[in-house]
Amino acid sequence: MMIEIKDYSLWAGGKKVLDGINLSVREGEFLAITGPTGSGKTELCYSIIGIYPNMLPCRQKGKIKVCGMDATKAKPAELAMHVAYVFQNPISQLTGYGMSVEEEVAFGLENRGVEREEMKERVERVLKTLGLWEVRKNSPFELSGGQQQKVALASVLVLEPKVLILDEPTGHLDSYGTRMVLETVDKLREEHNITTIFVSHKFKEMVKRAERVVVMLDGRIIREGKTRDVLSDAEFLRKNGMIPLPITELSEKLREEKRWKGRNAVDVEGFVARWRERR
Amino acid sequence: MIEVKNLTHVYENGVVAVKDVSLRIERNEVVGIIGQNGSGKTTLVKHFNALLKPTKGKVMVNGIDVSEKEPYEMASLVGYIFQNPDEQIFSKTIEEEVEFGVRQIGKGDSEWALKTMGLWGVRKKNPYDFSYNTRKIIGITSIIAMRPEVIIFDEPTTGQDPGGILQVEGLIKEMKGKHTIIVISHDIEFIARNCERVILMDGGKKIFDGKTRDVFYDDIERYGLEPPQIVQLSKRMGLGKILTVEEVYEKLMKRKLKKSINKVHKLF
Repeated sequence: MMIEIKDYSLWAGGKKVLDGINLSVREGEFLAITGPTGSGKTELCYSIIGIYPNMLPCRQKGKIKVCGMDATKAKPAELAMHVAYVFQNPISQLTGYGMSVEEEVAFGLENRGVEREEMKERVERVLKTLGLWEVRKNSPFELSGGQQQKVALASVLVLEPKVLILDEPTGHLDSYGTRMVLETVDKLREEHNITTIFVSHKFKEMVKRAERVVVMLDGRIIREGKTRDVLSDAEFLRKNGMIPLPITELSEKLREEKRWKGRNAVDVEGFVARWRERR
Repeated sequence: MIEVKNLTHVYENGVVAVKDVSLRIERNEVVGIIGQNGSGKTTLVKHFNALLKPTKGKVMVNGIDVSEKEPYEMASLVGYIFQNPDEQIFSKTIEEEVEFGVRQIGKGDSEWALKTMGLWGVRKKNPYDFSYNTRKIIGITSIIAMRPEVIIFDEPTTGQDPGGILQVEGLIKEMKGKHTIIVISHDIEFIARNCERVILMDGGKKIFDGKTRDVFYDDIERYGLEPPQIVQLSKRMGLGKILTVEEVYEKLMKRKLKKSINKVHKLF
């Protein structure tokens, strides 16, 4: 397992924010985590990358093993060699006002002492893939929110991490930008077998690529399962403050009139196939 | 009423963000503005409250030439809710933040706004003690407290959880018919649920402007946008220009009924 969490609880800011978390993520898996604000998603991710306890005061109980390291004891620099994190707000990630997009993306590689030629080649590849090549000489702070998010993503993807944690990485992006960013992640994931944790409320994107979904509420995992099983359960989602996909609501409405059997649909293709099949 | 005539905006670095856009938004309309990052949506609406001045063209709000005004002079008429609440919030308590604008323009109702947005109980607390989502709600509250005739929501669902999205939707529903509401959003499903009219921008130009169902059934994919799930379904199944779950449901049930009637007819 790339990530193994056993009976993990976290106390921070004077309260218990994570309660008895058990979760395993295998190498190369794309796992989605969802749940309302304050449910503990970010705290769990911060624990995996060692922000807790290295940068934020806390008390921990239980175990978190990431790439064979004990994340509750490892130094942030050790974890950072293998685990990359893309923050919700790209500004949190950008290094400095004096840097260009190109320098920003090269920063992590420079710190790791990567050879100049290799660095140039890796930076160019990621900038071109993410459509940032044309703005490589600009300051990231001159760019739109969506483009800043792409710069933040480029600066971690260039490091080719083993584990990639995306904390609502597409929140500032339009559907084209979202697709481009996630397709880039898919490509790099395939090439390097990167284990990905995708924290999001975007169910449509989860359906397309996540094998499993974890739902959190009040610091606990309240559901874990195959993406289509969890996201088709409209009643469960609504009960826990989430909005089911329109296609899911439609299937459920048809079921009330005995026009739909079995699991609700979560995507257009699934709906059309099932609707035609039942005729 | 907002009237934009041949508006062009060129930033200091030479970027032409809005190119010769003309449009008219009537009083109490709910209009969505969609388009890719950098398509000129935010630049366009920042002319409605004098945050930006036109390079060419004119913007009139209720007959007032906005280019002759300063943002504080437009605040009672046009409220702009920033995408990032931290660009807007500066007070030590939520109450002070919400009351600031009301005091400045001498009209509004901060108590109503705080209660409507569920912040009354925490009004004495510091906005930065709360999550980004809540700060976004605080940003919205401080603008609606001033009761401006026109309210502009810039990406209201970005960084919001479903609870926050439903809260903003509830607010828009409550304000419909009483305010002109302009929503800039990448969240196509949100636009489909809440806006009667949609303007699509691309490369600084207005590409489509019409009823939401007409725009979403046009070729918006060409401009990098994914149509709402229900529109995709309807296109696949040939159900016509429908937008909501209820409309698809009715269509499918009617089809079923029609088939049953046909079967009965065949028997005779």
